[in-house]
Amino acid sequence: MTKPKVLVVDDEIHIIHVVGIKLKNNGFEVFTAENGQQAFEIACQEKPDVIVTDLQMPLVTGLELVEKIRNNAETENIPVIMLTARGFEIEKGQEERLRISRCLSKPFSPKELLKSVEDVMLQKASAERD
Amino acid sequence: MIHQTKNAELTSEQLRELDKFGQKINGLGANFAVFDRTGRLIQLWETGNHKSCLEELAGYALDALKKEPDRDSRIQDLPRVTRCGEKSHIITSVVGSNSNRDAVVVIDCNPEESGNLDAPHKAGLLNTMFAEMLELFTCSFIMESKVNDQIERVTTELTMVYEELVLLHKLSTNMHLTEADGNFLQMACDSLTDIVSVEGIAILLEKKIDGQKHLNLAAGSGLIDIDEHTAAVLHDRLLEELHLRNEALLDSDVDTPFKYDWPDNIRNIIVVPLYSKDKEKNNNKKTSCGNSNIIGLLVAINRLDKPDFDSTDAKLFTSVAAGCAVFVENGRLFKDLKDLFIGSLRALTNSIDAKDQYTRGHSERVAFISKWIADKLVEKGLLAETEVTKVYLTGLLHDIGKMGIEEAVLRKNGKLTEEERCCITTHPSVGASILSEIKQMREIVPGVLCHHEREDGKGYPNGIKSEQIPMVSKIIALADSFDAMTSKRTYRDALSVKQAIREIERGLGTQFDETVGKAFLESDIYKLWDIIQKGFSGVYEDSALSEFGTLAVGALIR
Repeated sequence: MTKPKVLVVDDEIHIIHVVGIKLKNNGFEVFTAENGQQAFEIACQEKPDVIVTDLQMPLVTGLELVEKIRNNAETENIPVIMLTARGFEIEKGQEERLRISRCLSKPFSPKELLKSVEDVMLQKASAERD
Repeated sequence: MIHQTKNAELTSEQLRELDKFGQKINGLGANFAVFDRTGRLIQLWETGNHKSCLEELAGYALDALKKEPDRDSRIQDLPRVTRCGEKSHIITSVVGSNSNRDAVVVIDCNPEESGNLDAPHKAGLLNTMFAEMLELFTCSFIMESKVNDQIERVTTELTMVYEELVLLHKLSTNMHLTEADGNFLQMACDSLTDIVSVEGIAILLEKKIDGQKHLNLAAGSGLIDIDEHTAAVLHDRLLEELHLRNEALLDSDVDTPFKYDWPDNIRNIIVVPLYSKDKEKNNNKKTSCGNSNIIGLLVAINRLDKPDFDSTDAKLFTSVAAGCAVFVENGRLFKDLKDLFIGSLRALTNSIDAKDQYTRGHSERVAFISKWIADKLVEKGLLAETEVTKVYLTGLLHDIGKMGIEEAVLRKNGKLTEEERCCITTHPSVGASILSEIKQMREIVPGVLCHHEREDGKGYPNGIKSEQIPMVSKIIALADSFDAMTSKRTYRDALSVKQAIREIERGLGTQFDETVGKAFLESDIYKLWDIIQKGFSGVYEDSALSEFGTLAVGALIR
């Protein structure tokens, strides 16, 4: 059975490590990227099952990354979980338009993040069955 | 050609490195193989020029593992490379940074080339170079593995810290005064048990019962059994520890035997105090015999995922306890202030009522009856619950305008003159204007102003009608009349409850609002009467927080 793939994107390396290790220890194959451009390339190449990305990143923000992903045929349906800084909300309209599955504000509980990722995977699985 | 079997121990990055190296070795004419610590082949890179005998290589690999010195005593620059095979054409090396991930890499140089009699030097040189390459590769491979291991360990700790941060954040954002203290403390317990895997957590608060201080269970999670006696024991032992300048009571028999005697089911235990804010005063003297400062304690027993509690746990518990203490203290202070406020109002209005012996206690009774009616209306969904306090206060203050009226008029026996009547009817507006001077009372003003208005518009001071009259006033008007009817007055005797009820029925729609009146009439008026007769001070209680001395006045003066 192949492991589900997750792509973790954040310009802060400690977040990458924390999220990475939590998911790795729970059966995921983890790919990481430190910026939006790198992330997009990896997404196209590896076609992960879920993407976890930070919102505030230099050059290519989280929203721009999701925009790119949604506009690309190969990656358009990958569910995305967004990590935001506390107090920094994405407008509802954006969230729906870009089909962002979940938003978690930092500092987030790694346990909660794991649960979110698992929930999103389940949703995806049941959607695919229907 | 590359043959690969399933491997669970090397990481994908490590396999990538091995692959790169393997291909390089192939390019130089030798085969390359990696075995795990049981001698099982993980991957083989063959040039195609000669076949490697896997059994032979596996054998050498296991030999190399056996020769590997004890992990802890190994010095960094010991060469790890071994040459074996009949022509020393097989080079082995052990890689991996901890005993779980040990693997052996084997370079299998082409034996024919090695033994080429025509070019013995060349063959020897090549093999020596392979050995050197392997050594360099091994060193860097091991170094990288070590570093990655460390990162992993650090990250795991960091993950724990994140969880703690989230917990503390959750606690601080939920510290609203309106939160019932039981809920907040329970949330603290539940969140803590979530993060710090323990068997049981409990928060005990001090309560004064009949002048004696008792520790009561306020919230708890998991398996924990604290009775009165245990609580007292914990308290005393904690005090001892604090006296010894320790931050908390930490006891276990993991590394050293227990300091104190505990029941059998306790493997390790941590007790942290909840301090009241007067802690700073005593700490200056450095005699933390803060008996009077401790308002409670947080207890946790039996760490589950680790053998014992450590200093980070103690710190986390201390932080949570501090947050709980602030919350509880604030709640008590607030209640104290509220009591002070209401008490003062009662004193004030009672003194006004007492000017006339027949109206003594009237305002308090009206306040109580009004609250009674308000509660019934809330039950019926006709009034918001938040309005009830307003109603009570308006009831207390409705006759405050009588302050301006001469006692002679208030006490007069016979009929009032026109002038005297005018005087009396000013009291709602006088009351309203007194109260409108106080910012926090402005909400009460309309209720007071209109408490003598009537549904049919024949009331005073403004003669407004039904919808124009605020709900609060309608309630007060009814309560006021009921109390007036059932009290003896200068000009008549008291009516019986039955007669009063009939009068109210008659006044529905004209004097009194029908909905309010109905709500009152449907209630158990005799029960109400009973309570009034028996005296009802202290019935108006709000939160479950118990008093702990009157800190309010102190706070105000400070």
